[in-house]
Amino acid sequence: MNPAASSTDPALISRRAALHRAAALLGFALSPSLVQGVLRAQPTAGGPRLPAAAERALAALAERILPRTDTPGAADVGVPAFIGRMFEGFLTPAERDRLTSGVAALDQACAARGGRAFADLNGAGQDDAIRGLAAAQNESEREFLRLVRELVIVGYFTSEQVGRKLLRYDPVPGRHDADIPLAETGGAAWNRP
Amino acid sequence: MSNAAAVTTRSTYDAIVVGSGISGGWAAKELCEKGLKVLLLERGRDVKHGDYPTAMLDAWDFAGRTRAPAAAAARQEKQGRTGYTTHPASAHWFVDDVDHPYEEKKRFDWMRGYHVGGRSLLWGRQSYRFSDLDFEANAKEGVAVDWPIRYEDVAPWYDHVERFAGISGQAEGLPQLPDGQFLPPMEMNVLEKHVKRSIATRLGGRVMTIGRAANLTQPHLGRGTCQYRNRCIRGCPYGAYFSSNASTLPAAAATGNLTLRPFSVAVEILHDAARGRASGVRVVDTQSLEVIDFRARVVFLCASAVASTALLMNSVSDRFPNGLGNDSGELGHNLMDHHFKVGASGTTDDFGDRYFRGARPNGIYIPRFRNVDAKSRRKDYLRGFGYQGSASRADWTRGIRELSLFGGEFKKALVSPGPWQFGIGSWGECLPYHDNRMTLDRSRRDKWGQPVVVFDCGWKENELAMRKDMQASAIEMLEAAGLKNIKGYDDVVNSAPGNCIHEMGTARMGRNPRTSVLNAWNQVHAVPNVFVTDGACMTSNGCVNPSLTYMALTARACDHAVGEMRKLNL
Repeated sequence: MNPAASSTDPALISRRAALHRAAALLGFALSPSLVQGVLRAQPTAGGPRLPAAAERALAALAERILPRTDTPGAADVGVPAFIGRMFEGFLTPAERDRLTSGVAALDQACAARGGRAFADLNGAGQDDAIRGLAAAQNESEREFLRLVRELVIVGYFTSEQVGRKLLRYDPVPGRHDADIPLAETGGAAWNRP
Repeated sequence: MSNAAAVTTRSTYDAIVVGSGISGGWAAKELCEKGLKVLLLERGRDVKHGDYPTAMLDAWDFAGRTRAPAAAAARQEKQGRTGYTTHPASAHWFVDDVDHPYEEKKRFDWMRGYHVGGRSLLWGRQSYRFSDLDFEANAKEGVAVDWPIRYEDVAPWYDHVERFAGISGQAEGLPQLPDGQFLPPMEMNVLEKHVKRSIATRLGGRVMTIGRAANLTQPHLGRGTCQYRNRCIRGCPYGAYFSSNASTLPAAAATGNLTLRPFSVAVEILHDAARGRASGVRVVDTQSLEVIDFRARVVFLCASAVASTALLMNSVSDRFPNGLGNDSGELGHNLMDHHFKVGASGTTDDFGDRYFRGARPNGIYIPRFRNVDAKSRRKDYLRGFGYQGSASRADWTRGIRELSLFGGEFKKALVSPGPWQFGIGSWGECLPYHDNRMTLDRSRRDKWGQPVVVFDCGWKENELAMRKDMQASAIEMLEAAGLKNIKGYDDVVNSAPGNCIHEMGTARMGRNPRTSVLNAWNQVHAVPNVFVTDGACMTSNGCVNPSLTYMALTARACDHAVGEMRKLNL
């Protein structure tokens, strides 16, 4: 990473600010070298960009898997952008390939049946296509779906909106109660620490 | 390695301690508190208590959320083999494999933290005493060599270190897992209590206890109570678990006797052949690249089992052509680790309306129950194993594998906790084998000009036979508890030696200088002012987590060293 560029990268600046805010809350100072070390571990860019066609298909898949209801859907909490970020900096080459070739095969299969790409099908058509992947004889189709589900579900449940609002957010519980009624959390799970 | 003309000699100390992790922190504290002027050498950067940059970050503060960046992960390929170490939440506590290379004749996972505090910042905090079942095993079975000490030699030192470190736990009165000086125990959740009752009732009184952990359940010596965040591996701003940074180093510094020197790689123990003593330690300053000799009356090696032994191997002279103190030829041999990643998990539909508050950074422990007496004797293997585990409710990740489920109802269900599940994994003893070893490759050097370590170590028949029972007994206990969907597992591939991060045994203690490197006080037989008190000293490896034993042996050796110095024997 180019250090000159990094100092003006807005994403980095905001992460640096978050780190220092966290430290200030606790009343201790962070050494600059440590903050640099941690931030350097978080790339702001990296590998190839997710192709636009794949981006469309994956956004549509995400919204069918976790749709907007009375609570936010995948798109509402930024899952499509998360998938793009993962593609660029966090997936292995094999996973990137699984994603792009899986989308291509899905679009091709949808086109063969109805002349349209997955993203252009109506909701019922998309649901049928997802069921088709889940029940596919071909292991690579199921592996593609599994990877998509991982990205969508992780992206959704580790988002700030879901972590703070839908799940029960308590970053410093301060105590351990080994047995409480589930009703005490309103039936929701704790946000993962 | 060094050009003699470039070496400068600096101040003289009473003691030099190499390494600032769990053992080195204890050595520094004990020696400083006994009035010695101590130089503490740490090869990595300084980390002050509180310098824990990720401690308050949430999942969404990390660009890759649960994943490590591909580029960073590539530089920590070996450090990442544990599966949890190289996430940006804790990656800065683990070394860069490119800058810190080693070689493997067979896979060996060498996990290292090069910074002040070392692995005391990232350890698992499980704290158990060895017993005479462990100290007597080699002698009784004719394996390797006898430990030169017994439980009664170490027991007061276990007391001593537990009182300071703060170990929460429950006394159980078991001879194979002696009780300690415990803070109040953490509590089991509903399913854990159910399993505990079931295996006690149905499996002849078998014991399950809450983990004995170096996590504080009440304020202790100025450190705070556990906040139940379960983010220990990031460093604890509350000082609620034992680390050098939060515990021993501040105590050592408070005496005014401590000089902490980060960025200082110890490259050689200097030997004065005429006196038969070490005269000091040669250091490379990693920032100035200066080579400096520091002098002291005693030297404590606490750099970790592998690094301390590598330093001895690298200290060659006419008197010790094969490494300092290596008259026996055992230096580097008898490398051990625990074998693990074998056990079982299961679920239940019960307790659906029960939950918990707080993320307890500790699990349950099932102490060893094999080969503890005549009745539990096994014909198929020696020694035994314990289990660690926990019950919880399945989280939203359960939705990933359910390929055919999606949509609004699916989303809603994932917001709620899933079924209760209980899992246990077993930690097994490995025998000390002469041919499980580390050596130095002098043809290949690291950035500081030091030869790289080569590992040649693997599990053998005894460990593999034990693993069968480790899995079968796990399944048996889960069945006794009436769980459903019971699945056994044995991931022997990823339980490569080193992966458990309990590597030990490369400079073993013994009664006979011809067959061991260290004596009963952790002194190098032929160089009595050099003490090795980290995992290198272990003569066998028991089945319990070893750090508490390193603490106790270190404190004991420090007491001996100071006594010998006062008698002018050192």
